[in-house]
Amino acid sequence: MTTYLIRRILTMIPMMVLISVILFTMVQLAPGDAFSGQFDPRVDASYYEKMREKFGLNKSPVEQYFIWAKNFVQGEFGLSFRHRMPVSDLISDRIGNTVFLGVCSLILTYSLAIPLGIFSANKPYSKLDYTLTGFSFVGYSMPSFLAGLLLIYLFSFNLKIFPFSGTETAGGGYEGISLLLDRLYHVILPAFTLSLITIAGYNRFVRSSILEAKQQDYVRTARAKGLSKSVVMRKHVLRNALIPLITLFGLDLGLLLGGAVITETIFTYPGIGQLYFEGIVNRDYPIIMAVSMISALTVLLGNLLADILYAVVDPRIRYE
Amino acid sequence: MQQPAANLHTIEPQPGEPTTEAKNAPKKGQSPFQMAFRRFRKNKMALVGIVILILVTLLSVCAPLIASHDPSQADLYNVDAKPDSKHWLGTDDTGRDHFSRLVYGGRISLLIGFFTMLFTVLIGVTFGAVAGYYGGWIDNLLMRLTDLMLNFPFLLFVLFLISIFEKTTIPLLVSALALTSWPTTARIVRGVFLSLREMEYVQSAKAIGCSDWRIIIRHMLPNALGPIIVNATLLMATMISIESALSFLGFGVPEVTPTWGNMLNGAANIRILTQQPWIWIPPGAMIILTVLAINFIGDGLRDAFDTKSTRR
Repeated sequence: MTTYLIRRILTMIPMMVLISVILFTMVQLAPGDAFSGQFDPRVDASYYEKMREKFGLNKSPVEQYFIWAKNFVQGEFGLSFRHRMPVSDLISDRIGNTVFLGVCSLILTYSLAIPLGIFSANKPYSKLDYTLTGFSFVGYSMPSFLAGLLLIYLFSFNLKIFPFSGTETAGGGYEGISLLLDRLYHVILPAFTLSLITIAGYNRFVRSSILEAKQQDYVRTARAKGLSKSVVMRKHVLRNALIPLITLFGLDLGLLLGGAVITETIFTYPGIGQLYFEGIVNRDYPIIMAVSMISALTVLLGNLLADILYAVVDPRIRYE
Repeated sequence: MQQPAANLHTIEPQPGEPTTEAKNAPKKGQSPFQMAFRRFRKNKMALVGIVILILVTLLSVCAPLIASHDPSQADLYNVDAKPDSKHWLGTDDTGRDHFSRLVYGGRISLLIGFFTMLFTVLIGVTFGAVAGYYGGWIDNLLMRLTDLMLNFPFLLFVLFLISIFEKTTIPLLVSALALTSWPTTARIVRGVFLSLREMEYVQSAKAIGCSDWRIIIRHMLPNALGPIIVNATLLMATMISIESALSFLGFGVPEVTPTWGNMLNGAANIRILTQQPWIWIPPGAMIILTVLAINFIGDGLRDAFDTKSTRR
């Protein structure tokens, strides 16, 4: 297992290098830079030249790549063109918010999808099952930005229950546990928007997984030896049916950041997803590069985590 | 937004399953496709999906007959009008009739969804078939490329790709989406081809000297069509949804050409979101309805092609 882990982590390095080369090439292909858009007749053209020099934009692309890579490995992501401050500072200011949003949406996903899936599977083809399946289909078919808009419209403006932006009440002065509650209160709508698709998908997944497990011989054996239905369900059916979900958890991690771009933009939630979108709009390439690299790394680590967790829960799987 | 067609949540049909199990024995002379069609016909949800999709398509095709106004005709004396008998869904901020734009918008949304799906499937099937048929280093190379593509966070990558270009056009949008979405399809097709490769009919076709392309296209592809069709259907739903998200963010089709996605763009404005729900709810509803209908069909097709999951 240890050798396997080391090998997996080592193969990530060329992958990340390739990804960074592709991203960097795309930056070079893009027309203009942060200074070409803002021509101001009052500013001397030499000013822009100076700025380009300051940001290292006048060097050859290959040279620029190596400078960027060297700094990146050292945790130096460059200066944001727009914010005129280090990208690493911008990211460290916001990454906590994104992690908080991600954790909340994962908790929401699993705490809703598993029980609902079990309800459905207990009485397949009942009214409850059909209702839940219907809701899952709608949830699965709804683009997340639309879900976000509907939630804002219903809960923030019509019912006025939840806030539609920010991470905490401005000037609220909360501390400790009440600060946590205030933040939870702000994160609930974005987290639900972000998790809607996974709630809907996993609910269906749990349902069909349980229905399939129920048909297995070991379940019949367990019933035949006199175990009660609930014990069979808990110890035999659920244990086997929920294993694949654990793998999905790892894959989910990789998808979170992509979803966060839309969700955070709609809810003006200051996380790195929103930072990325701002970066795209303003052609702020240091930000685009840094956030893309972080999320590619999350995808890779998520996949690795999925494989590890799979081996942990299913002893039949061994990695050499 | 998730990786398109990353059907993590659904169980892919197992390729190469024998279709002649005793309990499902086909009537004499029934091809696997006829059997699938018979099962599909019994699926009510899928039929509802087909009816909805036909209606939506008709609405878009017959847009000139249904629309009450020219969708690009601005009327600056009548901007931001509320719905009334003349403008059924009011007018937008330049006085264009919103209902007419809604009807015409379906055309572009459906076309983008369809063509993106088509190109994605073409790329994915080619890569998957070649990788699965030849195996060895070709497979290795193509699958590493697939892994590389899958490791890019999809939405971030697409946004970046589109933002490189000065102006977003429909062909650009379609190619950007197709170029980033094929890996899942390629993986599915490769899996099917790997198992088909060992089949006796493929071996015998090789033995009598059929060319590789003939074996791939005439012998293997028809047997892999089930999973491909299911994947293509679900892809189209995802693509319509992604087009709308990109247009909403302002990176989709320019606003001159109405699509359901860019009609929702206004809802980013808090005044329109709260005060003029008739502007954004109808295109939103059309998107959900269409995607839902296609997903129903995709689900029905999956059940129809998968002989294992017969209803109890």
